[in-house]
Amino acid sequence: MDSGATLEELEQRPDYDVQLESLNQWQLAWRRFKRHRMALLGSALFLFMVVVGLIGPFIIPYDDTKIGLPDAKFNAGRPPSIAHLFGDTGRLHRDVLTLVVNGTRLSLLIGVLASAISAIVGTFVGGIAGYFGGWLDTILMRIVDALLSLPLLFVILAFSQFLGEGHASWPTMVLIFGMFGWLGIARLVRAVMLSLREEDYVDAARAAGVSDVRIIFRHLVPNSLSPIIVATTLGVAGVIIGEAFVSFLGFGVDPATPTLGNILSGALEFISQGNWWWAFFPGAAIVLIVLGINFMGDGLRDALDPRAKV
Amino acid sequence: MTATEAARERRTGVGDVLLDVRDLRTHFEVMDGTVKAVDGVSFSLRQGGRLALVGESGCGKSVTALSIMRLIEVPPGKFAGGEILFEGRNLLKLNDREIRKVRGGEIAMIFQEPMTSLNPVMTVGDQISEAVLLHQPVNRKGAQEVALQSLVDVGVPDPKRRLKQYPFELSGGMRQRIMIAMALSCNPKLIIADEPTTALDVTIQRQILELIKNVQERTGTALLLITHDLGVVAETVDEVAVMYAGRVVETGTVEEVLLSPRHPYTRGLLESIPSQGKKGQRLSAIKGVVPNPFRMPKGCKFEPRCPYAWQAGADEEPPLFDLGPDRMSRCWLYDPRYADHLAEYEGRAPKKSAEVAS
Amino acid sequence: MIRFIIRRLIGTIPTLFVVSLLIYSILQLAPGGPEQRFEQNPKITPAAIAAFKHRWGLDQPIPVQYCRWVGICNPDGEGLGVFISNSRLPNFLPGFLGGGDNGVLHGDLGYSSNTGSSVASLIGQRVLPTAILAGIALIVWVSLALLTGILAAVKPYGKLDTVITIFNYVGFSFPTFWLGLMLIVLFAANLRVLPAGGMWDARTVPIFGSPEYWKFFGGHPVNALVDLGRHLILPVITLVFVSVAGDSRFVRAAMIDSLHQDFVRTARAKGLAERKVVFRHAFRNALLPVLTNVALELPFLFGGAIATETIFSWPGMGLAYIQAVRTFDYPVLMGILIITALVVVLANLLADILYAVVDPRISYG
Repeated sequence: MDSGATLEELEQRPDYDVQLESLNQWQLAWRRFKRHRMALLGSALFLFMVVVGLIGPFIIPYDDTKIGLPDAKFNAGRPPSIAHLFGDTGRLHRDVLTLVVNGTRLSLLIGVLASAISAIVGTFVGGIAGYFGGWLDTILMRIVDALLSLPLLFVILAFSQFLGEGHASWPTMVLIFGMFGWLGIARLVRAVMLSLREEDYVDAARAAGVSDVRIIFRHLVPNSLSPIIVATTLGVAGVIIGEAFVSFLGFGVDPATPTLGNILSGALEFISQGNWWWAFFPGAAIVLIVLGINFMGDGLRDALDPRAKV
Repeated sequence: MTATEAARERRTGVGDVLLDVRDLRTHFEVMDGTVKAVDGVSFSLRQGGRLALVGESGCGKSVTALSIMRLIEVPPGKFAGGEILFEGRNLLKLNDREIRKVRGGEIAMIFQEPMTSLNPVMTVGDQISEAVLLHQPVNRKGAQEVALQSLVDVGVPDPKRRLKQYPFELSGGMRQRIMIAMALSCNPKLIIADEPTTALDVTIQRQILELIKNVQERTGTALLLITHDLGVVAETVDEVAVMYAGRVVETGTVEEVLLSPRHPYTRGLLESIPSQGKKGQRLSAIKGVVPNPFRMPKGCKFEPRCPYAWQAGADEEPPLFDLGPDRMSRCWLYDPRYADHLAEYEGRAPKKSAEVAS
Repeated sequence: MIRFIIRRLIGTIPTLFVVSLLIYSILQLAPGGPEQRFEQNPKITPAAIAAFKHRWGLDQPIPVQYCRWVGICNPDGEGLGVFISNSRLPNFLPGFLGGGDNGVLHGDLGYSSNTGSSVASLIGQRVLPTAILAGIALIVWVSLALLTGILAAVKPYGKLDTVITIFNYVGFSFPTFWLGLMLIVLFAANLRVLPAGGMWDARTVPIFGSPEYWKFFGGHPVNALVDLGRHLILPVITLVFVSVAGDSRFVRAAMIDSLHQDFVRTARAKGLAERKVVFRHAFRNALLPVLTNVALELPFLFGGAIATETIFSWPGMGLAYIQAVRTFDYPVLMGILIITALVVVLANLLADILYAVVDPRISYG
């Protein structure tokens, strides 16, 4: 194009294009995320619960294992007071606040680790199925479809019971939830793979002699990262609720270890005596964590969607 | 008698003013500010008359049409000013109930996308008779008969079978015929056709245009055609209003506007059409792009792209100068103060532009 | 239409086969087996355990066990004879065609390793309570989801939409079982207006499902229904509150999408009233994705039902399942899982059929 300008003049001009380009995909996503009020609120909520879980034990004056003196008059536990802000439990008189803080930490840990495993396994299976296609894809997806037509919670319940008999360690629960959580992600990654497989840059890489494994994990997976991130984030919430449920029924983590579900399980026995605080606070902790994650996940979904406006 | 006089004769013969849009302003409040999609649109249409609203995409012609139908979602949309007089009633002041009587009954609309403008899960017959039931004193069976008749009117082959068919079973051209039949079914006084042929194959476009023209002449209903295609304009209508950046910049009869454009933008549009007469000549395009709705130029909106621009009233927007009966232009050239610029503009008129219209 | 349904029914057979294979392998994958519950008991000798295993066929190779459970193999046959029924025909054929009478294919889900009673009859007893609870919850849930979703979609980002959205997010984040507990604390333990659990008032009503119950029901239908209704309120609220949120969001998205379609504008241009535009045009088109979504969510309804049934001691399949898990009762687990999978697959089939009914673009061919 004849711009009628000399090279010197052109070099002097501000280059708007380059400034726009230099905001990469992640910076743009961050900018969108920051504008999402619910997402910021959710992240704040989630971070707050993480901080509570991490530094809580150093602030709370009670020991997790500390057992109060039995008091026949308060067999169902004592309601919240200055000494015990969330009240104490029935029979053993443990401080509910201490239990909730420690339970929050453990529940978060299980949720995050199990979702990470799900993400890795799901990406691997989905990537392989989507990239290679053919009979491998058919078999893998048949299995995924069949498993997804079962109420997975049923299967997880049975599995935890057989593996731990109600006294599982928390890493066992991480493994179990990781083992059944990857199905959705595998399906997601496969769908993205199928559409990306036909792109020109994949052909170019293949023509250049790049190996299949490298193409999958260096080129294709990074491009399907956004949906994986969103699904994994929301998955954390699912695992936390699921684990709480399994432990609540007494098939999960050993009752002596406080996860949020275990604390609720203990409360069940006294619920008909009007002992609300023992069940209320751990449940409210679950709601706060899960609400935070859900808001955050929704914000991420909007922020990472490349079709969304800046 | 010149062609222009003949057209005027025909026009004045048709009757009183049916639709009078006066300084219409339709704005949209969006996250980043206000988009003034329509900001000063004026034109009028007589009973049985045919007028085209012409302009590039994004100039506000569809928003104008939707404003007349009051199909603008409020909010984010907002009628910031002006009036739309239909038989003397201001449509912008009608309540929901009253405007619903006008929609479909007195003003019918044909949309651009025949593929998506029909409900995919309702039969053609049900969709047409739904409108008939609303506006005519007939029962369900009578409505089906009216629907059948209107299919016959638009020349749909095998009309009885079509009534029972779903839109997905029909071609794009056939669906547009159905849309026209639907518009006709309630004998409206005005049909608004928003780019009715843009989405169709070239061979079908002509048939649909012919059909619209035919039914318009037969029923005597007025036609407001919205298009970006000056070729379509020349064939179909009597009068033209040219729009740019949400404003009407020029009005007149087809012959006047296409043969002697009185606005530099109209002239630019005509010069950018390839035609037989311009064989071997270099096609000129209007330089630059349509202004960003958030950063509109202060004075004349076309000034930054105008090859004839000089520093006339730089911060002031030109009014619509009256140049005769229904002949207007929104250009400083027609301010008596700038007569010398006008002489230069007319001196630079391309000699062959007449062939564009023929 | 009939041919379409039959073809789709045949299509579900491989899916169910894969599901059964998976359930079986998963349970086999887990360490231990039905005999595990004796481990803690010093009075039971290894010989007794071996006898137990033999009695239940647990000493057979796993493929044979699976084969017997499905009903392809005959439990008494030797060598290749296991595939042949007593009538000297392939065992998998239906009984009246000379096949065997054991296995899922012949309606025999085995016997509870805990109580020895037939799994099919156990499930038979538990199906009705679960169907009542889940059915009512489903009706309330879908109606509420449609109502709130449509209301929110008509004016997106308006006041009502914001309220519904917040409500949905909170509901979505509630663990079912915790909500149930809180409802019990409030309405049963403190206010004492509703029962804390169970399905009937044991002081005035006979056991649900027993002949006496139906006699009572026949004599005092109003009393029986009121009693059932009182026991249903809390469990249904629990199930619905959590489930409605996701669907309400889904309906909202589908409706917003539908309301932005060109044909909705056409409908408005005809002069139709907004209510008719929303229901006759936009809603009918939004219904398709909603139907599919509801069908896909049925497993979650069952999942939610286990939680709810446990908390409210509702004598349904969920409670039976939990008891079976507790006692390592493999036949009951397998039976409930395969029946649930069947329900889910049939629900998907139903969604397909409804889809074809609502959407003329889909032919049955």
